[in-house]
Order: sequence, then structure tokens, then C-alpha cells
Amino acid sequence: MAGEALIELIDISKSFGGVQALKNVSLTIRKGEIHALAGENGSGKSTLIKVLCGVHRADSGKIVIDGVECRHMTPGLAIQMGIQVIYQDFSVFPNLTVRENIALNSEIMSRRKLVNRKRMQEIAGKAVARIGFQVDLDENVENLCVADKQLVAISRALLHNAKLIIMDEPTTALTKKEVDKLFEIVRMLQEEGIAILFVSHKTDEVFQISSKYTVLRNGEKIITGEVKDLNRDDFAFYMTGRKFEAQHLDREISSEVVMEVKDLGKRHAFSDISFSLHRGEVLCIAGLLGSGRTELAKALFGLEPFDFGEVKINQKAVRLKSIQDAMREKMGYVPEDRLTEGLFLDQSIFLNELVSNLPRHTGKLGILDKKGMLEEGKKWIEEMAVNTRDMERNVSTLSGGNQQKVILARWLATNLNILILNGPTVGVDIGAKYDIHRLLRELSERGMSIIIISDDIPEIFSCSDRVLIMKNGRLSGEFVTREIDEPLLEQAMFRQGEAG
Amino acid sequence: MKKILKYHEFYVFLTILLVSVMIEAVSGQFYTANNLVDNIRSFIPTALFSIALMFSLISGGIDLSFPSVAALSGYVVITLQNSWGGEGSLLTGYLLVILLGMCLGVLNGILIGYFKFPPMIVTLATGNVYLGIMQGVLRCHEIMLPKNLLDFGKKSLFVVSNQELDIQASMPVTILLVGAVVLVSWFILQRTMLGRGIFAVGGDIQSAARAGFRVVGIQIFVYGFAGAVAGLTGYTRYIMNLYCVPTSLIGIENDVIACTVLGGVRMTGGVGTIKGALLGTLLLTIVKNSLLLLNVPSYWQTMVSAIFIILGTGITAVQMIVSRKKNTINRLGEQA
Repeated sequence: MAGEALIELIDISKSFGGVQALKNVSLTIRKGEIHALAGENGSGKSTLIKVLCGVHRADSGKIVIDGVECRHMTPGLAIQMGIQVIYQDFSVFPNLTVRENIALNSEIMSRRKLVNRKRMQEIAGKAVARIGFQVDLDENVENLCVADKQLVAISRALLHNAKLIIMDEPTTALTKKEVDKLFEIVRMLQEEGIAILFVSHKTDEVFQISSKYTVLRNGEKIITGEVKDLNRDDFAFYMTGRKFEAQHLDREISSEVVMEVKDLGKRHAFSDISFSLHRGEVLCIAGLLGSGRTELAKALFGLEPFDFGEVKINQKAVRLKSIQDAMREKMGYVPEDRLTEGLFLDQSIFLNELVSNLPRHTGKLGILDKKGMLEEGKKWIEEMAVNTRDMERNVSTLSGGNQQKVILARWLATNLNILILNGPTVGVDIGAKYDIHRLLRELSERGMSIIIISDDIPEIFSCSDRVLIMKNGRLSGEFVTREIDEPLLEQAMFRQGEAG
Repeated sequence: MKKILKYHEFYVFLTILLVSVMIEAVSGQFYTANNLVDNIRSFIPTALFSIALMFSLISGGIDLSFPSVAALSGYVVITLQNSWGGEGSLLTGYLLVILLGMCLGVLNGILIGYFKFPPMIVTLATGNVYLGIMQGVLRCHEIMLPKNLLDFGKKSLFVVSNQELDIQASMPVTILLVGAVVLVSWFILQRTMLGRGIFAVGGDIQSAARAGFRVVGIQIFVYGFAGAVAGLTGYTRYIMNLYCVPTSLIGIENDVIACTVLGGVRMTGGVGTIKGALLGTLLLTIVKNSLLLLNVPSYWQTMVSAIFIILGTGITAVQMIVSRKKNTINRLGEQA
């Protein structure tokens, strides 16, 4: 399909207040090409997108579209030239109908003052038909599932004669099936000659969908090439500049059972869950989005208590109806969505580390000992290799991987026996992911028992002793990780999932 | 039929029926012509305020300054008309009061839209400033109305009487104003891109900006419009009372918030209908009036409207929890 160049970015540089976000980056996108733009957080991916769609003005460099040089790119001009962005949050209006979500933008573009329902119906109907999207146009978008919201955004993007669609991390909240469906649509658009810039740091997806790739690191272009000439290890190296050796756990686990779960069930979520967790073991519960995995994790930590069954810790049946119950049993939980469920974004890094452990830093009159807290905060930052210069800054200033390390530090500071992690490296860079995996292995060596909820197959192999497969709210298989290989696990997770 | 069951307004309507039947059963006075007309009389100013407040709520903000805007603009215009020796027609009065209210509202809009101050703080503060101007600078006091306003205030569409108790009630002409404001508001909200922009801004302000809506302009319009309606309401209320007591409107915001919330207007923005706001107002008006009818001391009324705020928001919260649960169940179903 690769034809003539559609968009050329030539020697783009951009700095913000002395920080160079992009250094002489060039990128060529051809008609009907699926081009992956990869890089870690802070590599300049989003700045490059914003320059391309006119949100930021480049300090130097040229943007050439269809052979025409655009000196002053603005958001309006970008849309006129056929560049559309599908943001990570889809930029939809939850409170409006599908019809309005699709048609409003083009109505504003043509400077309409009055609402014409009939015309909007026509516009929206055509737009959804183009990608074969079956939906009730009168439904409010807030009642749609994530994948459908995305399809609304895609339908809308196609309205303005789009030539290039930029998808910013489009698969973040999708189930495996939904990702497959999205990729089908992406390929269909490619057939029509529309180019896709697929922004992602998920290695699997880059390999699955794109034909070309470009990697950015620290604001510089590292490499552009054909995906067929690329292998995973090189790709990780280009992104991070570090070499990673594949890590596996190959060890005997103590026979001491720390936690025993028997016939656990929760209405509308999961049932008949039984397993045991040994001292110093990393147990992975592998399930896809919607398999009941999150509900199970939350039930084990007392966040959303289970309805049936029992949990024994050190051979004693325990009550797990609240977070306080779970903490009394020396359990910790790292949630799936650290931004909304785990962190106090506007509080400092060290307070976020120590917040579960404040009683230990409280003096006689209930006054906090700030000096002692700063000391302990510093200790954890060093131990976890959190990348920051000032731990009194807000935790929101950290990248995803470093935020995750802060949450881990919080639990480690409380001296745990059992740690449950739900999607420990979702949205985390390769480098930080590697650090977190190393840390989990070290913790288990020290005798902590760990449960990981994950659907990331390389992750399961790099840091688990045992895998339980979960689907449709039930456990459907158990493996010792070192006795199986990736294809086998993949088959267990996906194939059966579809048949069942 | 199934669709009707989904609408919040339908349940408010049912509640109104239920409440009125209950009151009828206890007092035997509810379904009398004079009581119904009395209810509508007290419904008028609150309904107008509810619509004004709904605009700011839909846009994702809130305007708490409306009682002061109403009190100040009404007071200023009536004082002016008095100083002209009763000259100056009713129409001039209405145009002036709408203009004045709009200016006060636009000031809110500029602070909120352009300077990005939080709406609740801004409007609480400007409300107190307007009140201060009225009481401190203008040294307000109770004043008489010019004759033409008095005549208008006494005008009625029709009069009903209750032979049993030998009392009369007249349907005020000002009910037509409610009709006009409802029509204009409905047209703006449902039939103009500006109105859809108000919903868009309340749904997701960043998406609205990306889509090309002029967010600041929309916010200034919302608060300007709310101010204009507030001014009009204040003036109307003085006229209906046949006497101008400048501080009589202060504190009404509690009731008006209760009305909108009951009517399904979402406090977090993006959702609200005129139908809902009107039904919510009707419900609260009936309940409060009937407490009088049942000889319940008037201080209970404040508590009742507070309870209705909690009920109203509580229902919305429960609905959200239920729909979230449904979504997860659907999701699990899909996987199976």
C-alpha cells in the first residue's frame, strides 16, 4: 500500500522553558500506512503529535502535507488538511447522544447557529455506517462501553475527509476481543488509503498492527524502519537504551501455606475460587479484562467483600470485610488505576510513600515527626530507585512507572506478609517495568507472598512461580510457570476464553 | 412506554400526584380551585429562578448570586421609576431590569470563564458584594411601587372563589412571563448550537474546546442569561407582592437548588431539562404550601426543602450506582 509521502515532518525542534522536548525529529508518513510511534514517557511522543495537529508551534523545522509546506499549523488547519487525533480519553461528551457526539463537531466547523436534527441524523448515520458500527444514535454516550466510545470517536474523526488518523494509546482500556475488532477497523481504513499513526508503547501491538515504526527517546528520533526487520529485544533497547536479559524464576517454593482461599464467590462477579498461596511465592492470576479478576482482587483485600466461601491466613479463618481487616492481616493492595484509586496526586512523594504508616511517625501528642518521615521517605526513594530530585514535590509530577514504585514503597513500609497487585505494570514504560519485576522477585526472595493479577504474558513469565487462569468468573487452569511456554499459556488464556 | 420509565421527570410527576392525593386525603382542601391557583402563584418566582440556576448547573458551574442579583436589580429599577415620579412604562422597567441583571451576571461569567475562578466561590462572593451595594451604598429600605406597576401586579387572568370558605384567589398575569422564559430557554437549549454548547461544556470542558466550541463565550452567556432571568424575577416578585421589600429574596437559593436537584438537574453538570426543573419546582411548592394548609409551623418548611435536596441528590446517586452495576454485569455477560 505504501505510496507517496502524505506527511513529512522535517527537523522539528521544540522546547518548553529551556527543556528541549524535541530535537531535530523527522518523520515521514505515507498514504495508507500504519506507522507505530513508540517511546517511553517523556520521550516526546505527545509533543510531536501536538506539533503535528497544531496545538504546539514548532520552534524550527517544517511540516509538509501533500507536498505543501504548512508554515503556521493550527488545530483548524490540521483538520482541514485531513489530520485527526483520537485522544486517549476519546474527547467525547458523556451526557450527549451518539448522534450529537458525532455530528456536533462538523456542525460547528460549518458555523451553524441552529440545531438541525435531520441533518445531524444523516451525518451521524453515514459516519457509523462507514465502519459498520451498530449503535443506537439516541443513546447517551455515558451508557456505552469503552470500546463503543472509541468507535464513536473514530466515526467522528472520519467525517472530515481524514487522510491521517493519529491514535494516542488506543488500546489502554480495551479487552482482547475489542482490540482485535479495533485492529480490523484500522486495517479497513488502511485499505481505503487512510494513514494511521499508532502511538503506543505496547510491544505486542506494534508488532501486530503496524508496518513501519519510529522510536523516540529523550526527544530524539532513534530509528525508523520496517516492522518486519525488527525483533523484540532490539525494540526494547531502542526505547530505553538499556539491554534487558530475560528473567525467569526457577526455584523451589516452601511448602508453608500462608493463605488459603476456599470456594470464594461473589454475585455477578466470580464463583468457586479455591487456591493456596505459599510463603515467598509469586502467584499470578491470569485473566482478561472482564473475567472477574479485579473483583476477586478487591474481594481478597476487603474492598468489595465476597459473598460466599472463606479465606484462611496462617491456617486461621479470617474476616475480610474491610480494608482495615485486610491490613490487620498484613496484606497490601496495589490497585489497577493508581491515579484514581491509589495516589494522593496533589500530595508530596514522601507523604504518598508513608501515608499507610503514619502511626509509626506520630509522637505523644499525635503530632507528626516530619524529620523522621523525611528520612524514611529518602530511604525508600533510594531503595526503589524512584527517579526524582525532590521528594517534597507532588507525586503527580512523576511518570507512571515511578508512581507505581511510590505505591509499592508505601506498602513495603508497612511490613507486609501478602501483597496483591492488580495490573502492576499497566501503562508503565519498559524500563520501569523491568525495575518493578526485579523488585517483586527480590521481595519474594525475602519471604513475602505476592499475588499478581495480569494479562501480560511476558510479565507472567518474568516474575511468577505459578499461574492460575481465570475466565468468566472461574478458575479454569493451573500451571507451574517454568514448566510451560508462552504459546501454551496464551492458548489457555485466549482460546478457551472464546469457546467458553 | 418503556422509555417513559427511564425518565426522571416521570417519577417526579408520579411523586407530585402521590403527594397531592395524600394532602387531599388529610385536609380535603388540596383539589380546590383557590388552593391550586395559590400554589401556582408561589410557583412563579421559584420556577423562574430554577430555570436561571439550571443554565449554570448544566454548564458545569453554579450561580448562587441570583437572589442578590434579583433583589438589587429589582430595587434599583423600582427606585428609578419612583424617582421619575411614576413615569416610565412597565416595558421600560422590564427592559432595564433585564439589562441590569445581565450586566451583573456577565461579571460573574467573566470571572468564571475568562479568569477561571471556581463558580461557587465567585458567585457566593459577588452575591454578597451586590447585597452590600444594595444595603450599604444604596441604603435600601422598603418602598412603594409606582401606580402602573401596582396595577399590573393586581391584574389577573381569572379569579376563582371557594364558596365554602368564602375566599378568592386570582391567577396572576405574570404566569405568562414564566411561559415566555420557558419558551426562550427551551429554544436556546434545544434548538441552537449555543445551547448544545452549554451541554457540551458541562459534559467535558476540554472536549468542548477541542471540538471548536468557544468555551469562554458560552460561560459568559450562561451567567449573563442567568443574571437577566434573575433580574426579571426579582422585579416580578416585587410587583406580585405589591410592595418592594428588598431583602425578602435573600435565602431563597436553598429552595431553588432543591427544586432543580429534584427535577433531575445534575449538580456535576451536563444534564438537566426544563420540564424537570419545572416539575421539581412544582413538587417543592406544593409540599411547602401544603405544610401551611396543614397548619405545620413555617420553620419546618426550611427543613423540608433541605430534606428534599438530600432526597433529590440521593436518588441520582443511587441511579448512578445501579447503572454502573448493570454495566459490569453486561460486560461479564459479553465475555461468557
